[in-house]
Amino acid sequence: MADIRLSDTILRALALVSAHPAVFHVGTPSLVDGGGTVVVDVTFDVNLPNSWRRAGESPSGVKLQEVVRIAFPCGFPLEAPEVSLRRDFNRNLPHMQPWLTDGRPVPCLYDGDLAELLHHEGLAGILNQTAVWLERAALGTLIDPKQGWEPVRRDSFADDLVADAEGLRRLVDRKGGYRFFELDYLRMEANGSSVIHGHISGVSPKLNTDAVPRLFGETPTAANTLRRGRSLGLVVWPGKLPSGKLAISDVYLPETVTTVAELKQRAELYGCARELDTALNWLKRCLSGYTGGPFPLAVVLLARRPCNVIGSQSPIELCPYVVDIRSPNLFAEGEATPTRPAAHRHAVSRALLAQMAGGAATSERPPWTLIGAGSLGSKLALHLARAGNGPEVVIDKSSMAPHNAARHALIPTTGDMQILWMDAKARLLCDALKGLQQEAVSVVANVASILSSREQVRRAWSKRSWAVVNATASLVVRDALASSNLLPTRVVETSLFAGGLIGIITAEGPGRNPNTGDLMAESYALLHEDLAAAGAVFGDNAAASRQTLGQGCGSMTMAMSDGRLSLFAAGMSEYLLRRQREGLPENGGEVLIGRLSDDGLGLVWHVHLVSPVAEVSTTNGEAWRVHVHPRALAKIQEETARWPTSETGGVLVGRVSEASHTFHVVDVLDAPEDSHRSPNEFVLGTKGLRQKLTSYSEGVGWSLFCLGTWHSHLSASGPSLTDRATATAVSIARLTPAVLLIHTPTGFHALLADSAGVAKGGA
Amino acid sequence: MASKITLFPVGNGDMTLIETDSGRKILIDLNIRAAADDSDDDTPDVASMLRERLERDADGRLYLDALLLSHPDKDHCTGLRKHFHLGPPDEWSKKDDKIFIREMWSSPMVFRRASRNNVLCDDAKAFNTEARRRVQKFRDVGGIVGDGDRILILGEDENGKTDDLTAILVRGDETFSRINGQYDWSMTARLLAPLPKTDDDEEEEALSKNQSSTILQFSLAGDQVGDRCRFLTGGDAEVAIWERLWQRHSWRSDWLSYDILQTPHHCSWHSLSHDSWSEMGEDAEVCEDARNALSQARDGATIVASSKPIKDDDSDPPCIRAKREYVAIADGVNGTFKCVGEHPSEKSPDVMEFEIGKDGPRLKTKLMKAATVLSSGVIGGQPLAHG
Repeated sequence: MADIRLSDTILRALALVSAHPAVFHVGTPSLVDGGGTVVVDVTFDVNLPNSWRRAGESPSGVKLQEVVRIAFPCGFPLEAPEVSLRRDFNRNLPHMQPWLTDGRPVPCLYDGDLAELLHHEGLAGILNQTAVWLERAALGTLIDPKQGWEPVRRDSFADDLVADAEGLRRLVDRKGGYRFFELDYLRMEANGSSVIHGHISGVSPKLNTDAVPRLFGETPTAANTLRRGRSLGLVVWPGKLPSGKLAISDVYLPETVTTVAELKQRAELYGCARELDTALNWLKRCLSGYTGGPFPLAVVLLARRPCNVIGSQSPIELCPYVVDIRSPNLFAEGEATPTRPAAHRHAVSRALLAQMAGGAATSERPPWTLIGAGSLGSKLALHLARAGNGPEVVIDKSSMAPHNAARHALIPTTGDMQILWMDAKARLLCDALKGLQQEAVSVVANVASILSSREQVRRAWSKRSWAVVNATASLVVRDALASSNLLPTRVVETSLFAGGLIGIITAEGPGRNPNTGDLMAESYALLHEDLAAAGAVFGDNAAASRQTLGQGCGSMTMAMSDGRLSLFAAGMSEYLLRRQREGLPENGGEVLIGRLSDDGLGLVWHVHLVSPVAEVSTTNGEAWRVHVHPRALAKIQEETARWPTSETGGVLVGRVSEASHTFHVVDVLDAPEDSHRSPNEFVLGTKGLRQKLTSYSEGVGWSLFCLGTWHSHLSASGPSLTDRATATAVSIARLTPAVLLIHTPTGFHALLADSAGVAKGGA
Repeated sequence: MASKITLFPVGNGDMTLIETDSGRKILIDLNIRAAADDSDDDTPDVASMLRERLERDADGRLYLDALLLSHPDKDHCTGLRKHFHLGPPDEWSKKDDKIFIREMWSSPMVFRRASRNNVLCDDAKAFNTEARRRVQKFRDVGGIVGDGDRILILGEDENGKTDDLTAILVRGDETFSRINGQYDWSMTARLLAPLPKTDDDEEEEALSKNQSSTILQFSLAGDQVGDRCRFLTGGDAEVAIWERLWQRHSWRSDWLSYDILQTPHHCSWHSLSHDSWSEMGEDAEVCEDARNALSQARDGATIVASSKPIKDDDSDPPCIRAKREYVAIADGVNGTFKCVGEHPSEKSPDVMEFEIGKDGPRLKTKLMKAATVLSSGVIGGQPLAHG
């Protein structure tokens, strides 16, 4: 030990160790592993409560001073030092590594890679963690209820069992019990022993003598060392104590089970020994006449802990084991039959996905319908399904085409024909969702035709649907949705514009007011307020270019990279996920406009709340609705307040939906200066008006245009003869329907000016 | 929630924060020296250490539920005016952001005029002025006062000056569980001194020379279990006081028992002996009664000297001979002796914190701070010549 040469790095480290406030003494370093590793024994002071000082140790056996061995590997500081405890240190503590180093227990100091801690906080960080670990070990607070119950470490076991943890946890009730599940397994033979990789399915078969030949079996596979088989998984859980309280196992014990007898002791500890015995007895009877085997039986004891198990939102810890069974005695060596603890691997389950995405495993999957399984829709569906919230219905009329491979979330299969890839998008997407354990119904149809038939509507969404998400970027679909009264829920629309420079999300308000049509009109009005954005969306180059596909077929789509589309899809799916968790907006609708940053790397989203629109019906001719948006309403009210003793007015701007017979009045232009106001009449002037209207419409690519006029009445009177005459005059000169809106002290009146006929007379 | 006792490194002086299990905070004495407020000086910045342990109220004021001055000596009240709001609550200023004192705990000495034996420093005078303001407020409104106007008088004054203050008075030997006007289930304190007045002038003269500090025995709950820690603290009380406390309470010595003792007068020999250490050295004799009063340690007790590092020399306080006595007392119960000025090291003393859980008090483990590892060393600490 004398005269060893230590590197400067190690000398510096040792100086730091001796400077640590919790360190009492640093021993003489020595070299091990052929000189590669420097080992030093360091005495830590452990501050026990005063009342334990006489005993000199804590009830858990931690002494007032603990000698800890710190081994600096030759790779230090790239590799972290290993900290180990005296050989007789109490191993029945949580946060203990499953292995020994030179017979010495190794504490689990840090929830992560120790080398990362070393680089983050330096050696002081590791020393601090050691001091804290010793202190908690002494106080019995290594398990921190805030962090959760530390499950027994099982990751180093050779056998592993895949199971849907949340599914099994849901079995646990106050009565206690057991259940058999089908088990599929691979048995790997190596060095005379076998290792099981099993999958406990969600199927619980009826177990009796007749069923046994069907439930058990094992066959060789092409690989010599591998056999494939089926058997059973037995899940056992505890009920309540005689006192009526739930059986809770609050003592931490490391995994030490090696025989059936010890497995039964473990079950006793967890309060489910009776349940285990009953199940094994029944299994023994069922198997008694069957000659095959041995088969691996997977046993999962569910232990109820005092607080939630770390990494889950349940206090139920899964403790899986594997033991071979065969008739007639079930266990060939009786109670001494070898039993191996197994590692638990999560099955892909909806709950696991929800948890990994920061949601509650216990939350319900919200039912929703996706319309449009194209590149944007498929990404939204998969992002949300990966958070456990995939759609229940996918509607898309089209089939996959080669150009979809550029951006669609699904990936083409290999092979010459790629014929399968050409299936309906909705079906292919639903297949992918199935792999994420989320069943979805595919509807290969046009939304407009679905909405025309009550029969078809039933397939498109359920009554308790959370929302219908329209990712089609189709004007027809939007119009069809806006005009339909067959939707049980609100519509959220996601769309991209200007080659992926702008993305828009709209979410309808309560009672579908404002609706998806109102909101897109509102989006245009918002873009009008931001002319740079409007230029990008409505400029000459912005129109979706027509991609040439195979001869004779085509599709409107924009050229942009998958990455750019994914930027938007990611943000949009985060919006949907948040709204699924927190609910849709309560005080109206929402328009979110996202813009790509100048460097093309990020997005900035702006949220605009849109209050419900005021609805007015026309009183002549065909029934049309006028939706007066808050912006227009405010301007009208302001203008009438300015002219309390005269009639006044202006020009309406917005959009018309012929499908839903709706005027969306999003904005109002002031009356020209040559207008004339008097108590009985308002005459709209002309000076500069046409140019003003043209420039307004051109700024937004004619997505917003003149809808007609509005004027005020000083009394609560409806359209006058003059008004009707004007309506007629307006209608003659226009190809699109127009409206005359009249503001009175008690509300609006509306008069249709339709070029198809005349402003029809009558009341 | 665990309660806590925190002793701040203030050299020879006291500054102790008690956080009760219910979350209330009581500061006993303060000694925030100018050097501690100077960022270029190595003296621990105890004002910041205190502030980071306090919370702000709805008005954004950092506050203490109670502030006790054990006695008005400089090393127990320095920094009061600079760091604490004094005066009516509505004069608290956001800009100054001083600590707001919801309730003062004062000895009745504030009613006495300064005398030749009683020369007060400016901070002590300010404390007295504030205490008198609060008593006046109590008298003016006839009882009910709010945060920042409350005061509790610990001990009766001579000549009946406190007779009309029953509602805000704790008499000697009594216990109380009231903090800031409210009952606190997690704390009970017994007022052991000042001692009740006697008619014996000689006796009174002897006591007045012996630093008539407030002496309290706190009983604190930990993790919602009552009486998990007894904390005995007695300012600068000297030998005659402890002698008399033993004479009065030896038959109920539980009143003097402790899990943590803050040694009186910064580990001074004068609390244990009538003899002078510097003059008589090892010939100085321990006063048995005083030692008994300070020996009622419970199993595993910690005795803490709130002082500078203790050297083996003739200085006093802190006195090495006193330390030896306290170490012996601690050893007798498997306890420990600690010095705040040496914790965790003489070179860089830091707060000494005790956490009180269901198993009683425990010294909190010191971890290594990044600043310790990454400190600039002498750079910036002293002039460095470069040739």
